[in-house]
Amino acid sequence: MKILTETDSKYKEIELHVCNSALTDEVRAIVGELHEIYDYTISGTDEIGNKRMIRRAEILSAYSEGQRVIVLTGDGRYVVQKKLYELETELGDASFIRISKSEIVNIHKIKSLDLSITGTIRLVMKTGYETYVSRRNVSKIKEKLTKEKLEGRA
Amino acid sequence: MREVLKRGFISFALSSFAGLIVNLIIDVIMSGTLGEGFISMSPDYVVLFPSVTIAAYVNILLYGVIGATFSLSAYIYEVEKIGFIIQSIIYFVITSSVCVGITILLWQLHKYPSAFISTLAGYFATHVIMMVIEYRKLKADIKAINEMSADED
Repeated sequence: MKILTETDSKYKEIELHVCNSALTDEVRAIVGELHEIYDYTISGTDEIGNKRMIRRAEILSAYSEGQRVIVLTGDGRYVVQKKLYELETELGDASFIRISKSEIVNIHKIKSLDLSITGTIRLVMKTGYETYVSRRNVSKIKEKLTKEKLEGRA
Repeated sequence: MREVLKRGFISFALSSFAGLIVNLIIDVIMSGTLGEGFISMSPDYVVLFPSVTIAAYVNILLYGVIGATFSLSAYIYEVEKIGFIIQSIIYFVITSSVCVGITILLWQLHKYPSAFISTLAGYFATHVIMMVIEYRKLKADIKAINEMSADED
């Protein structure tokens, strides 16, 4: 199977084309997987009660706050009617990783990690959002990024 | 809270059982060498109790307390907002306080100052070495993550 990447100003958004001589089961499976990844949405409610559908790619972080689970996007915080572990399973692709007992983040939105002199590990997302990582999850983040990098090269 | 209690109970039970097995092995081996009547408890400890049997039960329970202390203290490492140097210090203070207290009672360690100091110093040194190794590893991992994240931009 060939995977081609083409960049051209004629494309206004990302397009994924699956090309083959016939509509085989493999093609159906690939298309199904792509729909699973890109069509995933979750319903969230903002602070004033407005509902909104959130796409997977928009999610920066999901964390538990008391009994609630909050999904953070570039434009706000939304309460979702799911447990964090359920959300983690649903989002369970290469893009998301658990950084502590109470939070998962989109690995592609990480800007940097910072180790303080006392050993606190602060994570800064590309949007400026800051949070903390537990020590044992640092190596998992590294492994995931390394794996993605190697797969990207292959 | 349920998870904490479960973890504490399991580690208490496992440590007590492990302590029981170790004591049993020592007693069997030493009884074969030194003759019957050997018990793996300090005589000064045994006299603190009305009978040897009660002393032995308490001994086993104290092993359980040590195990539960180590296991429950490890929860401090799950509080992300506390730096791991502080976490390690808290862990060291809690575990060493409990262990020192129990070893003083069980082995009457305070009567042997050099053994007491070397035991505590050994534990402290091990802890510091582990902390330094962990800090360096974390620093290297974070550097690698930051490089990879920068490449993604």
